[in-house]
Amino acid sequence: MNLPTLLGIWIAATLTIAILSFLYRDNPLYKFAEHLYVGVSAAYWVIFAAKFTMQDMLVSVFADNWRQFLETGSATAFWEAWILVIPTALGFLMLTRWFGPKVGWLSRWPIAFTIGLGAGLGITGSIQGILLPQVQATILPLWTPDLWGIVANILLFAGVISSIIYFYFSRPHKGLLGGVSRVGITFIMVSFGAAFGYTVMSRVSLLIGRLYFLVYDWIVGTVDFFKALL
Amino acid sequence: MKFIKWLTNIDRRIIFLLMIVAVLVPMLFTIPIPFEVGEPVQNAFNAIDSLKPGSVIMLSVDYDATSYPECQPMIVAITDHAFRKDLRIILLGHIPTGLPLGQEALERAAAEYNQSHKAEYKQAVKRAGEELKRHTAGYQEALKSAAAEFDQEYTIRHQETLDSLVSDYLEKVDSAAVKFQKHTFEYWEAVKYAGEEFNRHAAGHRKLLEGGVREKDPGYVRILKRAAAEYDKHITGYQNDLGRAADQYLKRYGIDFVNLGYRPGVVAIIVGMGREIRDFYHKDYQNINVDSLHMMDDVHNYDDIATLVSFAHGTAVESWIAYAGARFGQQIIGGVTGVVAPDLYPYLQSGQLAGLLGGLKGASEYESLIKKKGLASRGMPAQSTAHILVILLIVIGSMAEFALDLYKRRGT
Repeated sequence: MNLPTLLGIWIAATLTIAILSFLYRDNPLYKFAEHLYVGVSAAYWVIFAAKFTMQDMLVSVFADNWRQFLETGSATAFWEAWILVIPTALGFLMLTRWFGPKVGWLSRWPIAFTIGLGAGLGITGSIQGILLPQVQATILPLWTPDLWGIVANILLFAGVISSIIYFYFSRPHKGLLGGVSRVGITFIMVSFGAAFGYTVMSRVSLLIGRLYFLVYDWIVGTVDFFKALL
Repeated sequence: MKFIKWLTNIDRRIIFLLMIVAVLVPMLFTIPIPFEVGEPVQNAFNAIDSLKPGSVIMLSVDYDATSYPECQPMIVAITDHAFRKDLRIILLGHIPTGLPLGQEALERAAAEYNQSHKAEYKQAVKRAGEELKRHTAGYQEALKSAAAEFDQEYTIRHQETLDSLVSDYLEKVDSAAVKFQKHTFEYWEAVKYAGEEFNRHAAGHRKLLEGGVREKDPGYVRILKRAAAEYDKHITGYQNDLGRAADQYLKRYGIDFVNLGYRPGVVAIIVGMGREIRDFYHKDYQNINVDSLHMMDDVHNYDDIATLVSFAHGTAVESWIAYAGARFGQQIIGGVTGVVAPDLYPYLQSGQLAGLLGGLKGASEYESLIKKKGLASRGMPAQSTAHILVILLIVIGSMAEFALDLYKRRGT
């Protein structure tokens, strides 16, 4: 390990302890670390947006195609360069909201474009990629040579039907409908339990990651660094 | 009664302290806790293990530092497995702050692979060098005897210049190896450049010599030409041997793995890559043209990608399933945080996911399958003790509440 790495580890360890100090109670150290995190994340996103969006998808694509057009006279390169004017203009129109309602309505055009594109992609993706395969996977034989297969398929069938009925609100949940919806809520509760269990596991994993870092990277790492110096 | 009341309302700071102790103790004193590999992780392992060497897998980094303890061991284990199976890797991501983590995992796995094959690689390079020297010596001997018969003066000049050219070439290869320790794309560019430089100088030199001796003795020129052709063959052979040794024992950027970086627009990119990856990623994360990366020569869309693994802490896996999986039939594996895992089980049942790694447990199961103890395996004992603590607290709290309720009823 070299000195800059050790310095980085010390900064990370100090900030980790500052954040963990919130477990005791809110304090200025925690607030400092929190604000620093928000600031650094925002700056990082800005740099990435400038580099990977503005630079890589607009400026350099335009420059490359324009250069190619000048060198070869390719019509495709010419259009591939100038077509970028449309998304650029739409991007600038988004900023018109800053200048009041007189011109602010222009920002609806890029918003309409984004919503249209998102809805088009979203609807087809949800139906083709999620809904239909999931419905297909629910249509299962309730009688199979394997006993556990029968149990699993019946459970799946009953779970799906009763859960959907629980979300049927056009009639009061009484009688048969009420009974089936109670079965549905049981299935939903079981799924909440599973999700909660996984969430506990996930949060504990994060604590393990941080404590592992503090013990091995920070304390053991620092001791090893000074041992190597001596 | 006071104690029971206290049990129903323990100060949260005491619980935090207990949790830290429950995590720290097994971390400091290794406590082996056995576990079995579940079907979703086994299926993920099988999907990657059954791929032919040279197949391309795509790793999508859809998490960032907030999910590092869960997702990082997964990507480390899968890249390690992929390199062992001689698979090629494309890295990309939809969360810019997560991509450096993916790059770190790839570089570390490549460095570990190269380190573990260092001895074999060095041996192969040494063998190739010795072979070249043997042939060069033979060539010089042949020239010497030809010179004795024809023209002494030109042969000595020829020999000396070619000697210096060979040593210059070998020196350049060595210095490139020192400069680019990791045997990266840059190293091979430097070797290629040195080779081209050598061939250019050697050709120029031969031309000069032939021009000088032609008028004097055509028989000598014939010998010189034959010997030069033979010499070229051996230099090319040496370069090929170096390349073969690297292919076999090294993992190099641009040849075995690439990082395409981040592009905004998750769904549009997933759909568009079904047509042509270059439409969105014409340059990699270092601004190198994708067409100049050897690995990408035969990779254009999902047809060329055997398996896709999305490491995510959000809904990215579902996007991959809905668009790359449903539209283009792309095989997909999910490597997700514990919070996301329950949402993805329906896709396992429907066959839309080939395998699933859920949380630290999933990562540790994968590590056990590749027989490499990593971050996840080291964290699992602490995970188990923490879970035992949570269960104990829930049971104690519920029992105390029950006892308190019973006492209140009896009291009234």
